[in-house]
Amino acid sequence: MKDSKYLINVENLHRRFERNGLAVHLFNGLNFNLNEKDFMVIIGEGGTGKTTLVNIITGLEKPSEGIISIIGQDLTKIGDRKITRLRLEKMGLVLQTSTLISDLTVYENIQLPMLLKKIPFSEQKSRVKELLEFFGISKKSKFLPNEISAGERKKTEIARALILDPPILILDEPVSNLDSPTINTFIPFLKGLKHLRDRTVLLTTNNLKIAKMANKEIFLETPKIK
Amino acid sequence: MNTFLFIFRQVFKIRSPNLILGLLNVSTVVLLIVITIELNTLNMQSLNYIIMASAILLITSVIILCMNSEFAQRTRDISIFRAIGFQKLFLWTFFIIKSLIVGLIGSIIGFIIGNIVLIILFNVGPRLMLIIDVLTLVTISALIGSLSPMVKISKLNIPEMLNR
Repeated sequence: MKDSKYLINVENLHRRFERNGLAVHLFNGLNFNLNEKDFMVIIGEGGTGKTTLVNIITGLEKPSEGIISIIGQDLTKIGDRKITRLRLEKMGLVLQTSTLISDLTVYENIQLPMLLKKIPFSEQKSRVKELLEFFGISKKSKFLPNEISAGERKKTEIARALILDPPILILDEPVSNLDSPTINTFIPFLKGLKHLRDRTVLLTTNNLKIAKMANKEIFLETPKIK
Repeated sequence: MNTFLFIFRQVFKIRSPNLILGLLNVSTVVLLIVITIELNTLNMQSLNYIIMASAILLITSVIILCMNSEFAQRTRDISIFRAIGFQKLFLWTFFIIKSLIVGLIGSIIGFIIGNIVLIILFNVGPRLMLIIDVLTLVTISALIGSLSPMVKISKLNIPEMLNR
C-alpha cells in the first residue's frame, strides 16, 4: 500500500515467534501513524516488544503480519537494498545497545553515515564539528568510545543519527543503560534538543519524564503466551 | 577519514588467527610451486592438473577458514554498519579485498621461497613465468574463499548480533 500522508504508518501489526517452547504473540494487531514533527513515545514493561517494534519499523526484523509504511514505502514489499537506503537516508537510529565502532574515534563514528554519501569533505567536517559543539563533546572528538562516559557515548550515537539530517529519528530506550546521575543530566539535555522538535520522533521508554515530551503515546500490552 | 581510508583501515585490522592461516596459505603455495616445477622437469605434465586442482582446493579451504574467522570476530561491527545503512555490497568488499591480499601476498612470498628452494635443492634455474599461473590460481581461490562471509553477511540477524 502506498500512503504518502504519513511518515510512519503501521497497520494490523503482529509478531509471532517461539521462545523456550512457548508461542509468543506480540502487538496483537497494533495500528498507529505519525505525521511530520509528531513525537510518539512507546511505553511498555520489559518483554512487551518495544525493541522488536523499533526493529520492525527500521526493517531490521520482519513482522509476521501487517503493513509497515515509511514515507510511503511498505517495508514488507520492498527489498533489502531499498530498506537499507531508507535506514540510511530517512531514519536516524539510536538503539538500546551501544552501536559505536570501538576502534573509530567519536569524530569518525559520527562521520560514518556520510562516507556512503557523496558529500564534499569540507562539508563533512563542518557538519560533524557543528554537532560535536552542539552536543558538548568537541573536546572528546579524538577519543575512542571506551574512553568516554556512557552519557557521552549516547550523545555520540544521537549525533551520528542526526548527521544526514533524516526526517525521522528513532530512539530505543535512550536512558536505559545510563546510571541515575547521568539520567538526571541527560533528560534535560534531551528535552532541550532542537533536533527533536523539527522532525518526526519515535521513542521507546519506561521513563515518565521522557514520556511527557511526546504528543502521542502508545502503551504496549503484555504479550500473549501459549 | 575518507571512504578509501575507511575501507583500508577495515581491511588491514590485524587479527592473529588470520595471520597464522595466511602463513598456512603461503606454505601451501610454496609446496605447490616446488612440486609442480619438479614434475615439469621430469616430463610428468599430466599430473600437474591433479596437483593444480588439489592446490586450488587447499588454498580455497585456507582462505575460507581465514575469512570465516575474520567474520566471526567482526560480526558485531558488521551488524552496526548494516544497522546504520551500509549496503551488503559495500561490506563484501572488505572480505574480497582481504582474501585477495592474503592470497596474493602469500603466493608472492611462496613463489620467491619456492624458486630459492629449486635453485638450492634441485639446481634448477628460477621459473619466473610461473608467477602468472600461480597468481591466476590464487585469485580464483581467493574469490571462491570470500563467498562464505558474503553469504553470512546476507543472512545476518542484525538485532540478535547487536544484543550479544
